[in-house]
Formats: sequence, C-alpha cells, structure tokens
Amino acid sequence: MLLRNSTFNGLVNARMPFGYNKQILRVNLSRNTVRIERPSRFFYRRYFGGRAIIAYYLLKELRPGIDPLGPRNTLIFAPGVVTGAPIPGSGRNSVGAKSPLTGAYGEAEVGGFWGAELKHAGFDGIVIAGRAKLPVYLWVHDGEAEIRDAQRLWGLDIGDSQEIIRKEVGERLARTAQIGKAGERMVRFACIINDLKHAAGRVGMGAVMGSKKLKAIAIRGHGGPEMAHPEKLKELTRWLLDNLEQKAGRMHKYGTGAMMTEGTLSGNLPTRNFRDSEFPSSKAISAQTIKERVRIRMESCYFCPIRCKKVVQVKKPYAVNPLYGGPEYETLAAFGSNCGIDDLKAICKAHELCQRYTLDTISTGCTIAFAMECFENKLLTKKDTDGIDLTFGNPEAMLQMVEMIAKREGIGDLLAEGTMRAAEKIGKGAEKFAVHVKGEEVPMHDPRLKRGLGLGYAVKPTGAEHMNNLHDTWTRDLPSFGIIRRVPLEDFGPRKVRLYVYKVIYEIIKNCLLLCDFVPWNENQIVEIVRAVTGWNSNLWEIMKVSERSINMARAFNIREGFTRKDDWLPDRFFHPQTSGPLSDTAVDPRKLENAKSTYYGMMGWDQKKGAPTRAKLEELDIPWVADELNL
Amino acid sequence: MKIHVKAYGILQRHLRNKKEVELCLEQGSTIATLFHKLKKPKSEMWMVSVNGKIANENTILNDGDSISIFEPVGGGK
Repeated sequence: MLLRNSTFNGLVNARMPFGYNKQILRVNLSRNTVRIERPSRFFYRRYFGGRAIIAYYLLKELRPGIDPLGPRNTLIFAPGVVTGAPIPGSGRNSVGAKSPLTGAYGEAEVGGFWGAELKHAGFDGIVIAGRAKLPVYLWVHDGEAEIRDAQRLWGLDIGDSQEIIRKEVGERLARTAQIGKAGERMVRFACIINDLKHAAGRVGMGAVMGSKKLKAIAIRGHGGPEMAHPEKLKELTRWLLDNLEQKAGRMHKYGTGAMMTEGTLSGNLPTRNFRDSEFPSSKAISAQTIKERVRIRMESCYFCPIRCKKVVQVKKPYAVNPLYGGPEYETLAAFGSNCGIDDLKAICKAHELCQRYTLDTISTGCTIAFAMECFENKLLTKKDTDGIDLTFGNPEAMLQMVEMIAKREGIGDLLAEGTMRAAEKIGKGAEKFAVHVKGEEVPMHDPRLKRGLGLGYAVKPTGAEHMNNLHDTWTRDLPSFGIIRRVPLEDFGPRKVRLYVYKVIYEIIKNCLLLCDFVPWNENQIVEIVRAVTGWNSNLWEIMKVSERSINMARAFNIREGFTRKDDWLPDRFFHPQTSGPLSDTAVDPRKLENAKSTYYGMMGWDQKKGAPTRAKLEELDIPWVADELNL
Repeated sequence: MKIHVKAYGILQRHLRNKKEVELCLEQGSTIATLFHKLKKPKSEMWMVSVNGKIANENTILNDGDSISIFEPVGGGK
C-alpha cells in the first residue's frame, strides 16, 4: 500500500503550525492500508506528544483485556512537539502499546535520530493496528508512506537488515527503528532499536512489533515544522555550549557508568540479583575503564553537543562490533555486578548481542541473575540448562543465556517469558528470587537506599521504572517548586511523597515533549524551549498539567485493565537488608510503603481503594472522557 | 577523638587533594560537624558512610571511626 500525500512538498507551508506537522500516520497491517489523520490544534496543546498521545490512543482504541501479542493491540510511535527542533535533547521519541511483559500500560523512550527524522518527514506519530500476514517493513519519506515486503529481512540481525533496507529504498541516510530475532520470536522483554544503537528498551515493545510481523520502520525526511522563534533556540544552544564542562562535563567525557565506586560505597549497585552489595571489582566495569580499554569514540544523538554515547570495539576473546554502540550504566550493572561478573569484554559482548537481537539489557541481565540464583539454590540444575554451569560470575554462561533467550532455545524459552512467569513455572519458592514489579524486572537502583524511588517502582504505570523517578540521593529539595527544606534520604513519610509527586510530574514533562533527561535544561529553560518551538504563550503550570494529564491517563488505562492497589508493590527482596555492606542493616518497611501509597493517592486526587483517578480529578485535567471510559 | 576520613572522586579537593586523612574532632561530634570542618558547600549533596554503613548528618561519631565521603549516585539509562 502506497500513500502519497499531496499536501507535503518538503517545504514549509505558510499555514503550518509551529513545532508540529498536524499529521499522524495511521497504519493497519491486517488491511495493508495507510492513511493520514489530522488532529486539531487543541489536541496538540492538550497532549503535546509522547506519553500523553500514547495513552490517548490506547484508551480510545484498545478494548480492555486484549492479548498484548494479538492483532488487537496497537503500537504507537510518538515523538513530541519539541522532537526534531534545533535544540539539544530533541532527538527522542516514545513507543507505546499494552505491554506483553506486564499486561499494563507499556511505554519506552529512545534517543538517536529516528524521532527527529519522523518529524522532518512530516509526521507527529505513527499508530499501527492489526497484524500483517507476512513480514513487512514501513517506508516513510517526506509525507509519503508505504508498506513493503520484509520476508527476506526476517531473521536477520538489525545491522544486516538496515543495510538491505537502505539499499532497497535508495537512501543512504534512511533512519531505522527495528527488531531482531528476539522481537520476531516475541521475547516478552524484546525492545526496539533506533539507528542500531539506541533502545526503546523496556516492557516488550519489540515483542509487540514482532507480533505484528513488522520488521522495521525506515524514515527519511527533508522538511519538518517551522520554529516560532529560532533565534531563541540558538541562544539556548549557545548557553549549553558555553556551560558544557560545568553542567555536563562528566557525561560528555564518560557517558553513564562513571560512578560505579560510589554505587558500591552506597549499596546502590545491584549485586548478585540484588542480594549482596560487596563487589570489589566495580571499577573494572566502569565508564572510566571502558574509556581506557575498549572505547573507540563517543557519539551523539540528534543536535546534541553532549555526545554521551559510547562506542566500543573488542577483538578478543569476543568480537564486539562497534556498529552497535556501547553499554550504558544499566547494562554494565545488569550483566556485570548483578550477575557477579567483572569481565568488561563479556559485558560489552552481551550488550552487542542485545542490540543485534533487540533485547532489553535490564530485563535480560536481571532474568539471567534470577536464573543464576535459582541455579545456586538448586531450583535449576545442569539438566535444565543443557549442561551450562549457570553460577554467578560465569561470563561464558551469561553470554550463552543471552543467545538462548533471544532465540528461545532450551531454557532460554522459559526465561524469554520474564522472571515473573519463569518463577511461576519453576515453582518451589523461585518467586522470592524474581525481582520485578508487575512483571517488569527492576533496574539498577536500590530502593533500600532510595525510598522515594521505591515508591515510584511500586506505583508507576509501566512497573519498575527508574527514569523520570525520584532519585532520593540526588534530589532532596526543589526550592523553585516550594520544597525548600531538604528531605532526609531515609525519610519515607509525607514530605518524601510530596517531593516524589512534584519531581515526577516535572520529570514526565520530558516524556511528553520529548526531551532528554541528560541535557541539563532547568524548568525555566524548558518553558522557553516550548514557547520558542511552538509559539504558544505557555508556562510551567500548563506544561506540568500536560504531564499530570498523561500520568492520570496511563493510570486510568491500568485501572481499566483491572489493576488495583495491591499491584502497587515491591518485590520481597527489598523488604530485607542486603547480606553485607552499606545497606546490611536497613530495608524498606512494608507498612511505611503502604502508608506512602495512601499519601500518594491522596495527593494525586485518586481514590484509596484502587488508586483510581476520581472524576473530579479528570475533570480538573480537562479529560472527562477518561472518566467515562472508567464508568465513573 | 581521632577519625579516619576517605574521600572519593572530586570530593578529594576537600582533603587538600589527598585521598585519606586522619582528623581530630571533639567528643560527641556528628557528621554535620565533620562537613563543617571540611567546608562542604551548602549547595552540594554528599553521601557518607561510617564504618561501611550508610550514615547521615546526625550520625554521632566515635573515636577510631572510618568515614567515607562521596558524591551521590543519580539515575541512568
């Protein structure tokens, strides 16, 4: 199916709005059709993009209870009003669907260039329904879209498929969002990779793409929305360049993972499936060691001078292809300390395999760590693992598991279901080793150190999410939001919950606009960016209300799916201290967590029984139709 | 009383660029007293552990304690 859009000519149309294209691409893979939807300007100002737009379509178009891996799920690629603008941090997009890992609202964010390219090609989002009979890919370019045969791409690593797609469409610079073997085989935590290096990692969006038999979306665009005040964007970019060393020096030099030692000292570095804390060789898996031993260069995302993305190359004993970038902190800890492994080259190889096959590195590492603890406790034996010695600290075994999970071979088929389902199947008490929330494996930050983060893990709609969360060690006050007195690290009362509420509503702005968390814009600069891109006479109040709207819509989606208060909980592991080290005499108090939930629901305007948004709250947010969806 | 202080990363500048020092403090001193002595800027957030356990500004120090000071760990992708 080929869609030719006569209104797009690659040039700026005088009647076009600022910051967005007023066009969303609708694709139905069952019917093999593409069409354009043109939302109103009110739609854009009410929802901005990212999470809010994803939650909008999921609430409007999904029936409750549908199979996330069936044709009735909808996969949404959503940049935001700021995506593609000439301002650092604007290269991002969100991907959303009902999650096959959690059965709840699913969303993952990703950097690179693909999101900006989509805006430049004339679209503010892609909404994909149905399921193709045979593998296909989508080719989007300058206002046109086409569904193409991908049978010969199916089964290929994404590096190979990108090369073929680029040749086929005749665009050397076509940007791709793709799945590899893990997505095709619907591993429940398969991800989608932009530009071979950037992952929309979490909650199995790659499995949904695989279920639709959609191998890739390739994009090339030469146009895009006009900016309302381009000179202001130049001024802001100049400020960042002038202050780069002071504001983002460490990120520029090393990227993430430069604080492994501090992670061990504070007990925050997950070690052997979140059980221990002593990991004396943490420096061996740090960004500093990567720079010394395996890094060949740093790369950037669209229009960003911070250039925090590592590119690594290893020749022996594992060949690691620099085409697939390099590991972030989450990957280093998930395959490193959390599996008891300090072999940096093996971790780089695990990262490369996860990119090649499109696996979420956090969930993959955590699932292997879970299996290692089961093995240590004889719940799994060599008979189950095809003879592999799955002990903590064995890099060869870890790499074999990554391969087996991606290809669903042997025990990999069980582990490809995620820790929650694998633990249920293994039984014999394996549940206590499964460190997940709502089915999503926990990222590399420990709630026994960061209580507010733990509340976030419990109540966030996607499960255990560390981004756009409160990192209590880092954020202890928000003077410009009226939180003037510092909240102690160990506090888990109403003051901490208030800090969490304000911080997270503020942070989720970045999931709606979309802006990168690693570009150090402050709240006033974010307002200036929105005004300069869109021309709207906006302010922080309006922008935070968009964020709050998106949080309530995602929550409403989960309530409609049957999630309730009891699902907002932490894994048992965090109610017990670590076996040794800095956090060996402290743990999350379950009564305090329950109280914090009550306070949080109250502060958000949600009921106490389910944690459901009330009609009054939804009316206040100008989304009464969501109350109707919940039959309130 | 005598305490042993070890600093990590950029916080070593507060120990005159040394990695570790011995300091003398009055009996009953707390981590807050130590931070004051090290001229910790109010705007900065420091993490601290005493004898390997996470501590806070109110923690009372004892003779012979080993204290580590380091920057807080934040988020990550």
